[in-house]
Amino acid sequence: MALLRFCQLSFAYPNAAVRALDKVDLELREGEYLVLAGPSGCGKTTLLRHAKPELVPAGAIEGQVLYREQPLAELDPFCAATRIGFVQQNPDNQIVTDYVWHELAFGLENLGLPTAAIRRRVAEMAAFFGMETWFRSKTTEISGGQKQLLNLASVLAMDPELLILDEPTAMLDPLAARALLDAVRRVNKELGVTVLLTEHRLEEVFPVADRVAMMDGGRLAALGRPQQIARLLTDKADRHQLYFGLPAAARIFSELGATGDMPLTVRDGRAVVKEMLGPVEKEEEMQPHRHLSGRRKDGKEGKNGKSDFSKEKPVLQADEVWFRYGEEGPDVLRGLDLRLYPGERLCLLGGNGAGKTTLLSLLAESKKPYRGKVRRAPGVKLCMLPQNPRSLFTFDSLGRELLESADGDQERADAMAERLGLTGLLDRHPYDLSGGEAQRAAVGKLLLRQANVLLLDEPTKGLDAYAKKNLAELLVRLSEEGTSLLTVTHDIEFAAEHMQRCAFIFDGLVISEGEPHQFFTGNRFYTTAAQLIAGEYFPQAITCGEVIAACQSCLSAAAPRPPLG
Amino acid sequence: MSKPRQRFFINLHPAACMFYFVAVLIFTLLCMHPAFSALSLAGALSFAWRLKGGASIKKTLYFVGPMFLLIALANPLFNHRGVTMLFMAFDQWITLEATLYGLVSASQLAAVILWFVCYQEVMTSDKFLYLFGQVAPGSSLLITMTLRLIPAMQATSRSIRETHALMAEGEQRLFQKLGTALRNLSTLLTWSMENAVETADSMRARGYGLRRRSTFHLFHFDSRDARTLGLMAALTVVTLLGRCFGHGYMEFYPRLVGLTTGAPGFIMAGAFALLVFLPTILEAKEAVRWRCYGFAN
Repeated sequence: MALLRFCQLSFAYPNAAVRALDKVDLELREGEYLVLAGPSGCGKTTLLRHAKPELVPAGAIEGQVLYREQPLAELDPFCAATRIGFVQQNPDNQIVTDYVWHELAFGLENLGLPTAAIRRRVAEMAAFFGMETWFRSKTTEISGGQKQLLNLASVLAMDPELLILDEPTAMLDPLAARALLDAVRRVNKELGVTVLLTEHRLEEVFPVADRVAMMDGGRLAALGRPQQIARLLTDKADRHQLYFGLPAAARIFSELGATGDMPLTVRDGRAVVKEMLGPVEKEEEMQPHRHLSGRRKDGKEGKNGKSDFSKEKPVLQADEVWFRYGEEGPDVLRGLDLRLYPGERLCLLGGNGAGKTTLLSLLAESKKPYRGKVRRAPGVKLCMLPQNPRSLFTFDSLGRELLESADGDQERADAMAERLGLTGLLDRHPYDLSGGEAQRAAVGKLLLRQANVLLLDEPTKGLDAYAKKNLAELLVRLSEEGTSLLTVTHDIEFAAEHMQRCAFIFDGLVISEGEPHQFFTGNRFYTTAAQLIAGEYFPQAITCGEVIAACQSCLSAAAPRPPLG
Repeated sequence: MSKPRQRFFINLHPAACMFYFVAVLIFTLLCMHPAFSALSLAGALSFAWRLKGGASIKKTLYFVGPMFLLIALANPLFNHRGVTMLFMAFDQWITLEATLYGLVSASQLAAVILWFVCYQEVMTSDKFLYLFGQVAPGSSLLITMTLRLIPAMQATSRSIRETHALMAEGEQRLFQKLGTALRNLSTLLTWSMENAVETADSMRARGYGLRRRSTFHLFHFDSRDARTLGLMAALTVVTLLGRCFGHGYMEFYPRLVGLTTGAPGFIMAGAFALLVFLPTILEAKEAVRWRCYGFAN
């Protein structure tokens, strides 16, 4: 039975030339886990909001949304509030009250339930999500991942049948994102709540989703099982934006022209590769090695450009810095050494609380080490790209924003807009830009301030795979033009593909550092999905592209094998 | 500096805590008497020290101490009422009555401040809202939201300032600094308003405004609360009766009258002493209980 049904739903925002939704037909079955995928600005959020009566945007609506075969608009408001739960993107802004326990109770208080009933429901939720240790904490003092888990729990406390989540992990680091998606999956599997979710981490949700709906330009482009959608995306000759978000296993599988069940996880991907290449042989192990090193000898210096900077003079340098917050606190950094060379793309990896962000503020000289020194080469103008670009925006249009940073020089502002591909967006309010556009605008502002060293704090947070790719291209171009980039990130795939040097921080020290290939191949677990899938065969291949190339050369070199059935 | 683990009083039911603070504050102000203000000050100091620990209380004392001295010294210097002359200072007679009055009012004020320090530590916002939220659910929600919003906005403001501080070039002059501050404020306001829209969505999505809100809380009123509240009430009644019959109050001018008022006065002072030291005593009892608990297991 259909729980929710969009019938020929069309919608246009006031004064908009194009429809945001165009005749969308979609049916959500009871107990289903449905992922809504699509490039940013394709109408995903608009569609989701039409499924929650309180949040339906103002504009011209045609068609209908049915909830249990009744028009949603006629649903009793009390029923609408409890039966349909909605979790938004930003973890902070959804929280209303000041204590975790109070936030859990907020919805139930709105329903006027007595204290005893609320107490029970709140206890159930806290126990289900394991929130006991921070149940009495203040909402401003918990981590972003905990905040989003709290938002999920406080919606679930109202006992919904349908849970709608609008990019719930966009503001979270990969670990917290995984924890949240795990929680959503438990809610679906263990509590039987129907889930409708938009998400750009396709590699995380594809393996667990029942069906995937793909949207494009306000229309429903495709609907089917994750495998079918993955196949659809990989079969197209021109790369759809979503292709870059697919699980590595699916990409490798399809590029190799294999047939059969599309693998979506590392485990399945590894099995497929094993089946294609046969057991690991000494010879085969050597081949890709030659293949990769052969390419190096051509003088191309590997994929990410040169990585040996040791002969140059660093622009930024931390010498055995020690830091702690307050005299009594534990040491966050313990004699850490780091160098950033001109025109280099260096990336800092490491878990939460490893001291990465602390190190950034030391390098930016907003904090001082209590031992050791931070040095800057003369002529260095250092700027920080904040996690949320909004902290840079003051004016009501992007054009004025850039003009201000160029000190009123219209020509320079225009040139920068041109350079970053922002020309068409100059009239927009900075808040109306998509995540990727806002980030580019922020970078533009910093560059106009003559920045030649950029510190980037989690720049890929909240970006879909396609925007990430664009950002990476921009960063590569900047570094080739001489800007030094130091990126703090949790995003292993991003680091592997686009950085020239990776440094892993643990326990206040750089534990290991090196060129990405050298860095990731030395790691057993902390490495890319591609390396996990095919590392046995191609120890030097860390990105999807390299694994695919290595597999292909391997397959063509070997005696013709019957295609995999 | 970690706080010492004094949990007995903090874990009492909010009604008991509130009753206690109201009673102590009223008596501190009503009993204009050296013994009573000294007791109240000592009680407040020992409770505050137990609650917040030495280091933190030292900081408070750096502020309360000078204020105490200022009032205690200023009164006899500027006020020459009273008949008992002590000595001459700056060509002015210093009288015993004015000196004592200064001391008493200074310790009254210091005691009130210290009681409020304790109050803040004990009566967190959730307790206050529990007590008064039933009466006005709307305003109590508003207070709750504000209490979340302030630290959230502080964090946002910090991130904005840090970002811009890096971009600024060299030393800024006053006028430039002012401009920067204004721009940061405008960024903060735009951003916060945008955030508020999402908060409003989240509230509506969870049924805000559908019915009259109930107010949830985590508090129980158990037998321990009843016993403690009973003891507090008994001590309060004794003190109140004493005060009604004119004990625990002194005339300072023109001469000191009513320093001692016989047995009833002493009984009242005893009850008051017990009242102001009640939290300290209860915490000490709790500490002993834990020691014994440790031995028993």
